Amino acid sequence: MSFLPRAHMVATPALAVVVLSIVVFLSFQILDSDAEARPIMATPETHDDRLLRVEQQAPGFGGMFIDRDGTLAIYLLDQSQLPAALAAIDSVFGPQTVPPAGVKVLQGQYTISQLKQWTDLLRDLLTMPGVTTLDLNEATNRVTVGISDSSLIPSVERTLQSQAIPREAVSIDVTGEIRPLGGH
Amino acid sequence: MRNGTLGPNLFVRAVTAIALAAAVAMAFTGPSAIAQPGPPDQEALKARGRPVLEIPGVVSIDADERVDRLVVGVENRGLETAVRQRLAALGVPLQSVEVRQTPPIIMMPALTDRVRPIEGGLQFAFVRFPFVYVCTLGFNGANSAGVNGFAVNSHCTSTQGGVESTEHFQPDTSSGNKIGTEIADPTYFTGGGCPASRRCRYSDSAFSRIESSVTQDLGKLARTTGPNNGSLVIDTARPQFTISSEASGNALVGTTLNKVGRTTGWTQGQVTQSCVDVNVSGSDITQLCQDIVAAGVGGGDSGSPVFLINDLSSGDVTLYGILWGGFSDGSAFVHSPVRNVQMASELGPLTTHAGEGGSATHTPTSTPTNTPTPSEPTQTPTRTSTPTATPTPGSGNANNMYVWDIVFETRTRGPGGSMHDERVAVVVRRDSDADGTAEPTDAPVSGATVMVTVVGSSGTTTLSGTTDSNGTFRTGWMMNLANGTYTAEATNLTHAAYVWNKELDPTTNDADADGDNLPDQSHTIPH
Repeated sequence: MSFLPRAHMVATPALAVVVLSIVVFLSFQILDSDAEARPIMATPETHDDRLLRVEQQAPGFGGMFIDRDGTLAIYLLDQSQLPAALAAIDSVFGPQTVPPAGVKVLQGQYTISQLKQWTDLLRDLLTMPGVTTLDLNEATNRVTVGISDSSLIPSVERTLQSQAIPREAVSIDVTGEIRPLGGH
Repeated sequence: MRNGTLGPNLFVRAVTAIALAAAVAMAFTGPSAIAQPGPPDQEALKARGRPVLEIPGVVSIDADERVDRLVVGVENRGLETAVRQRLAALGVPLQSVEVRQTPPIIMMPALTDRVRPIEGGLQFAFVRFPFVYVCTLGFNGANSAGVNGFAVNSHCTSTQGGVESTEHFQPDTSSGNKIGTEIADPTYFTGGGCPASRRCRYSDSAFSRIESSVTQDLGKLARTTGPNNGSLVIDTARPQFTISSEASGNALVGTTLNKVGRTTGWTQGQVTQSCVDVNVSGSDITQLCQDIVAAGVGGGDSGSPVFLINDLSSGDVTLYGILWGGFSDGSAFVHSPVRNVQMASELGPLTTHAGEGGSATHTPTSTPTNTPTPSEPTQTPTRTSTPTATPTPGSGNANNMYVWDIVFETRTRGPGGSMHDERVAVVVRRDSDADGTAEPTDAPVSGATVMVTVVGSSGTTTLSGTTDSNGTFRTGWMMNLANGTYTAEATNLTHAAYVWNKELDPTTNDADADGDNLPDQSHTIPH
């Protein structure tokens, strides 16, 4: 150390200050970018989460919707689970969910948890230009991917294949673009 | 002539010819016409008699050339004598006057007109430099700090996401039309549940603080003449929908929902997808967990209130959300559920005055827009528990429901907490274990319709709404109440599956102070 040139001896503290400043500056930047990347709040329970809760109480539950005849149509893999499904729907969504027209059972092919898993795997599809929507579609017992035009179908199908998601479990709908509707 | 216009020479010639023709015509007919004793100058009589319009019930005055009379329209025949007396006093010869019964002329405002008090569904305008845009007002309300205003789309502000104090005008940016200033519009976030390289929110919403000089009709939405008819005219017979409750989540697919917007009016259709993540065209924005409805929509409808009709004749509705987008062919719209709008990370809790319909009217004469920053609202359940009856245990019925509790909830605002707002929470349970006893372990009843009457020094107000999944119906905030004692009484309770067994009421939480077999609860301000 004692053999270091004088100029170097003088420069070292200054260099250290500069380097330290840069490190501190960068660390603030990282903290800031972390803050931006962090969601503003914990993810709230969504409609899909509620459907998952129904399945937890009624194994094989695959979704539900109000059919054109006014009945509540329920997808079940095992139709003997209907009483459990009704009780679960009552407790999760409330007793008013079952309409006066009653219920009907539809043969499901997939459970909500399967559809949820695939929907989550496909989340990055929303970064693909031309993909408009992604939906755990409880009304069709499928995952639905919306696209602006049909030329995107092969790209979406390649993604399904890469994620080992059954092609028949996903419907690909051409929606056109979805635009905000402020007017001049 | 060239390119469809007159050349200069031809133009001069044409004007000259017309002038000559007119002069010739005057020469032959003019003098004799002037010399004839014509009919009374009805227009002059009309001008002389115009003050007759000052009489209440007089609808019109017209120099009717078909009958050669001055025709005065009145709402009822009983006014004829007064009309004739007034006209005689004005010097109008009565033999020239005819009085006719005429239906009153009612203005038929449209969603695109200037309407006060403001309400959901109306057109408003804002500036996003260098253009002026129009959108639709979503719904009126107060935020958790008690600031009155209205919900609009975030993209109907100067910048989508972030507060720039955008000024909102109704119906356009003409002088005197300012109705509010943007005060809340959360920024879009990344990470978390948001796809990589996208920015996300759970709603396209912002909150605008109302101008102190502008009145708003809380809980009301403009109602046009019918669904899917393209009309923008507000129905004069039934001009409003009334919000009585808010949806607690996304709509079930197949539910029929409605919207009222300034471009396509009142449209109605079924929910086709629920809780969908939607990419907004031309941006890096993804709106999470939105609902899609197969109903007509167009540019300018952004912000339209989306609702379920509970009762068409009364106009009672449940608020479901705020519309922000649509398919490019106009066949379906996308909306943010009202539950998403009120997440803590979005606009936070809003009092949309759901349940303040019926006989309750809200015409705020002052809004706390210029008050210092309100203190955080404190919600203090207060109760004067006066047990008066003990249910008799015995054989019960699981379909019997009852009012478990009536609670006044309090918040304070303003400097030193000087302003007291109150609302009433009514909790409904059913005798789920069928033991004939009202008890805290009984199941809450959601979807029950509750009517509650609040009596106080300010008068009597009846409020109604539907219980949520916790069995609770909350009225909207009753703002800045005067000191005094207030009594809330549950006057009606209905449900599709359960019946109200009043024998189970009042529970140990409430009283029946007036002995009318209806549970009530009293509360005194100041506390």
